[in-house]
Amino acid sequence: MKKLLAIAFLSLGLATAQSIAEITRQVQANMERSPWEATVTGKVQLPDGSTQEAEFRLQVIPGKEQLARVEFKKPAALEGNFVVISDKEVWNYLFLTNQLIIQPRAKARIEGLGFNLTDLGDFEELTQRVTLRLLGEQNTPAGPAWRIGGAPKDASLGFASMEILVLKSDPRPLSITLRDSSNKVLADLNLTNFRRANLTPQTLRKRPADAEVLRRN
Amino acid sequence: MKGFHPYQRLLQLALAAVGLQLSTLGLGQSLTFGLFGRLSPDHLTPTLEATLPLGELELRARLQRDALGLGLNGALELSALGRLSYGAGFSLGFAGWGLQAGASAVLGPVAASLEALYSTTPRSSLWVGDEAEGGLKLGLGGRYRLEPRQTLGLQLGFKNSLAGIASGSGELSYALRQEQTYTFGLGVDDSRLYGLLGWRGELDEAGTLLEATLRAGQLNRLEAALTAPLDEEQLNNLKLRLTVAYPWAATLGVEAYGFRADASYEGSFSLWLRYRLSFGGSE
Repeated sequence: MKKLLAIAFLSLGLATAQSIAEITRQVQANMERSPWEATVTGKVQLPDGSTQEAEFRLQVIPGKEQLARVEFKKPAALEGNFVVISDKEVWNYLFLTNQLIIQPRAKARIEGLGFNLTDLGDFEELTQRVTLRLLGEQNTPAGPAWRIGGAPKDASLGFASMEILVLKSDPRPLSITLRDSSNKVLADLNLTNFRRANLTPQTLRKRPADAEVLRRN
Repeated sequence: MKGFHPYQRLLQLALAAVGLQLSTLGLGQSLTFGLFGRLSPDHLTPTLEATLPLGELELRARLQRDALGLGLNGALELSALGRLSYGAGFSLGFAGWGLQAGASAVLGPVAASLEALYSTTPRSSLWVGDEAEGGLKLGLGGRYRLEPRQTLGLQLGFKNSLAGIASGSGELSYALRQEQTYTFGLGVDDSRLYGLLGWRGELDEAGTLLEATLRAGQLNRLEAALTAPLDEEQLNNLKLRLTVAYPWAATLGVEAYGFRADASYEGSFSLWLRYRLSFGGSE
C-alpha cells in the first residue's frame, strides 16, 4: 500500500512537472504563431511606498529575427518615448529631445526589476532565467487560467518571486506580478487588448524622420 | 531634485523593460571631408571633421586651412527615462583661440541644456560653420512637459562681444501637440521684441516631415526644415533646410546619402560641400 502511495505521489509530481513544461511549450508555440500586440497596464511600486500607474503598448514580431516595440503611454512624463528591441540592437527614442539612441544589444544587461517585458512572449527565454511551477488554476474575466509561480535562478535579479496568469483557451499571459523578498508587490501588470496584428519590421521601427540619430558602440 | 525621486522605480522598470542598465558606452566614429568657399572677402579652405571613440568618450577633431579644433564628448544613457550628455572643446588658429563647453540632460518631463563659449576672434575664423561673432556667449535652454501634449520652452542667452558690448536674449514658447504640433511664443533679442509661430507635422504616410518656425516683429526670421525618407527602413533621408531673415540673410541646406551642401548669404555668398563617411558614428 505504501509503495502504491509512493508511486501515486511520484506520478503526481511527474505529471505536474510535465504539465508546466507542456504549458511553457504551448505558450511558446501560441505566441510564436504570428505577430501580436497588447496593452500592458498596471501599477509599479515606488521607493517611497506610493504607486505609479504605468501603461505600455507592446508589439512583437516573433521568430528567428524577433523584434519588439514598447511604447510608453503612462506615466505622462514618458508618453511618446519608445523602445525597439531586436537581436542586434536596442533603439531608444526620447520624445522631448527628438533623439533616437541606438545601442548594440550585446552590451545590454538586465538590472532593476530584472524582468524583460518581451519575455512575456518568449517563455523559453523566460525559463532560462526563472524556475517556473504550476500553482493551480483560477477563473478570470477572460476565462479559466493557469496560475504559474516563478523564482529567479539568479539572486541578482531585482525581484524575489513572480506570478503569471496564463489563459487556458488561448495560451498567453494575462497578467504578471513581481514581489520582493518581503512579499511586497513591485509591479502588477495586466495584458489587455491582445490581438494578432499584421505587423512589419517597418511598422515597429517607425520614428519621426527628423529625429537625431545617435549610435553608441 | 525631489521631483525626480518617484522616477527611480520607473527608471528601473524602463531599464528592465528593455533589458538595459545604466551604462556609459563608447560612441561611434566618422570622417567628413569638405570644401568651403566664400566671396568678398574671398576664402577657400578644405575642411575635415573626425570623431573617434576614446575609451568611453568621443574625441572630435576638426581642421581647416588656418585653424584646428579638438573636443571631447561623453554621455550617460538612462534608457527610456532620458540621457545626460556633455562636452568641451578647444580651437586654435592664426586668428586666435576659442573655448567651448556644454551639457544637456533629459530626464522624465524635463530637458535642459547649458552652453558656454569664449573666443578671442570671430568664431567663424576658427571654424567655417560657426557664427561671425566672438567674445563670450552663454546659453541656457529648458523644456518642461506640462502634460503629455503640452510643452513649455525657455531659452536664455547672454553675449559680450569682442568690442565689449553686452546683450541678452530670452524666448518663452508653448507647444501643443495634436496630430501636428503648434508652437506659440514671445521673445526678445538685444531689445528687439518678436512673436513666434511654429508648425510641425507629417505630410504623408511615408513620414515626410515639415517643421516651420516664424519669428516676426522687430526681428524677422523664417526657418523651415523638410525631411523625407528615401527608403522604407528610413535608413536614408533627404533633408532640406531653409532660413530667410530680414534684414536680408538666407541659408539653404540639402543633405542625402552622406552628402551635404550648405549655401548662405549674409552680406556675402558662401558654399560648403561635405561628404560624411560613417563607421557606426552619430548620423
